[in-house]
Amino acid sequence: MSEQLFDELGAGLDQSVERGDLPNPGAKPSEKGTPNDTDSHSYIWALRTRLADLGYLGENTGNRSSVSTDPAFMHAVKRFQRDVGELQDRWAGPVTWRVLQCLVSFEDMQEPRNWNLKVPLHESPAVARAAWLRLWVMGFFVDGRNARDADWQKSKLRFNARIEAGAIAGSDAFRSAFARFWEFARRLGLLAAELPAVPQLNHECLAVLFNYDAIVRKLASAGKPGSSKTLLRDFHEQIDDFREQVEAIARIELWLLGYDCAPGPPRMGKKRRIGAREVGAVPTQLSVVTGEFWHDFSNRPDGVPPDRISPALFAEFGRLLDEKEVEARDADQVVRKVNEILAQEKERDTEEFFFVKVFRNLASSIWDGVKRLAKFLWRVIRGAVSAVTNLVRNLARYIASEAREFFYIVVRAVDAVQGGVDYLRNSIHPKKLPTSVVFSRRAGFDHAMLVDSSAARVTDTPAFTSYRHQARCYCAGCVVLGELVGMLGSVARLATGALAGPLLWLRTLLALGRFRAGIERVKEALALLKDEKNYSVSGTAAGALMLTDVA
Amino acid sequence: MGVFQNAFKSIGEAIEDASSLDVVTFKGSIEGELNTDDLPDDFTKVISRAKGNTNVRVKLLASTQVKLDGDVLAYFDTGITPEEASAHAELVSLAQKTREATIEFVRRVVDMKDIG
Repeated sequence: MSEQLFDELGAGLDQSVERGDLPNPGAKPSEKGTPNDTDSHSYIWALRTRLADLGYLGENTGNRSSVSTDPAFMHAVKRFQRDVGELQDRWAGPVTWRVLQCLVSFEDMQEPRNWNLKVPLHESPAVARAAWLRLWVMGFFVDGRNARDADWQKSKLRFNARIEAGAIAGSDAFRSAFARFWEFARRLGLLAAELPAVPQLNHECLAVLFNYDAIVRKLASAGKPGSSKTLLRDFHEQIDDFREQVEAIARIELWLLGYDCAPGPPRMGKKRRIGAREVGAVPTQLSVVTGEFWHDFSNRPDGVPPDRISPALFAEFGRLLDEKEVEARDADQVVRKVNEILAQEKERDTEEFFFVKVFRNLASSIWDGVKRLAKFLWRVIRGAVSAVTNLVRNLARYIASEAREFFYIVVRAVDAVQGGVDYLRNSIHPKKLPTSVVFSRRAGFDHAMLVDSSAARVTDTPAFTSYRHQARCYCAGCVVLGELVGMLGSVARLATGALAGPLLWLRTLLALGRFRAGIERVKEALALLKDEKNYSVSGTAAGALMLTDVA
Repeated sequence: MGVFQNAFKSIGEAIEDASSLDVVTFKGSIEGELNTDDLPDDFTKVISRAKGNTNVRVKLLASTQVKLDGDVLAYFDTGITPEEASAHAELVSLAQKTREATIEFVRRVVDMKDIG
């Protein structure tokens, strides 16, 4: 790939990040407002809830309360994305969330034209499911007068329901519910003249269905102070014919206002107890919450029951709705102001950012330098330790080798001295008979030798050979003793400090050198003995001074 | 008297008689001459006993005298064999080496200035 292609790819990815289609890999986890917020548990939980409402996930506690991205969840996300024509990347980013919120929410994007789906509305199974859900939550799947909880439950959008838009739209239950809503909207005056008599899954009809605020405002108009009696009568008629639906809408509105009232089927309220005994009939959740609402908003007109649906209640809903719009407009202004401030802050922070970047790079460079220096020092120390270790090891080997050699020298020297002493001690050699040669040594090393008449090869006889060995031992022993006396003298001088002075170290080295030279002379003297055949020092021989064999 | 004491006494006697070195080689019958297991300490006794025994003849084969100034006085019998002459010569060499070693040892012990 060329560099240009890489640039284009990078630019495209950056645009995707800016649009929110991809997570920002550089965003910090603590930063809010980044696409990475979609990784939070609350986001996954909200996704699961909405997908379950639309029937993309099975209706069970695990699917609603779990925050995991298990295969079923990922499959549901992918199927939803396919149904709304979005990218099927199995990552539910801001685009997927926006579409999901448009289809499910009662507050956001109530105009289907603004949903900007990539598929026609009537072809999207997700839109059909959203319409079904909307009709079901507002109670149009049940009869307005004799609704039972079972009627609600049997019409609930199921996980295994057919997902094709045409199948849903062609369902008798769906068509009946939609027609019932259409009649309800007609009575409220929500239907324009050009709208068809039979509702369809198109922009116009869905705009009526999903325009929740318009429905609430229409219901609120009858209860506004000063409204005509006609409107009030119409409202009561609607209440009579669509009681279940109006109550469902009231539940939705109260839920949106934050009260403990779930949209959808009616639920029973908490039982009132005095001690252990129940008192009275069990109220519905709606009646309880309505009472709480009137308790919070104390402008309830006289004669309006606090626990029932009334025009005054919807009039109050309408008033709050208008206030919310004002608040929303204020919020828009606040957001714009905040954006302006943020832009100014960003410009101001540019210079600071520059310095921060410079210092960060500087710190990074220093840290890299420190790490490299530490590595260099570590290599030097390791190399020095290795070198010293090898040096000590080789030195130890050398010392051991030298010590072994010196020890053998000492052993041979002792043997030589011993032989020399025997040479001096015996003036007649040998002392035992029989022998072919007899030697006599007098003072001054004068010698006399008596050779037996029958002796042959006199120099090879055992007596001559042993006498020769003793004579050599004597010569070597004289050298050994002479050098030993010299060494002892050197040691004595070193020990007594006779060599002390400014050149002590030099004299010490000279003494050691002479010490070494003396040992070499001893070795040379002993080498004369090694010339003899079969000469060896035996540590096991009788009278041996050193218990060591030296070949 | 210890071993080294005797040895050093012998060395001292050798130094005293270091003016010349005499090496004499005889030939005779040792079995007939020495009929005891232990030989006498003095070789002169051996010779005198050999001379006293009329049944044994001891013959002088060779005699060598080396003077301190290097003069050498040698005698060899005409009947000496080469092997006997070689043995006499090696004995002369051994005697010289031992005497030189002795003198060198004494010199080192006495003159220790060059040691340390």
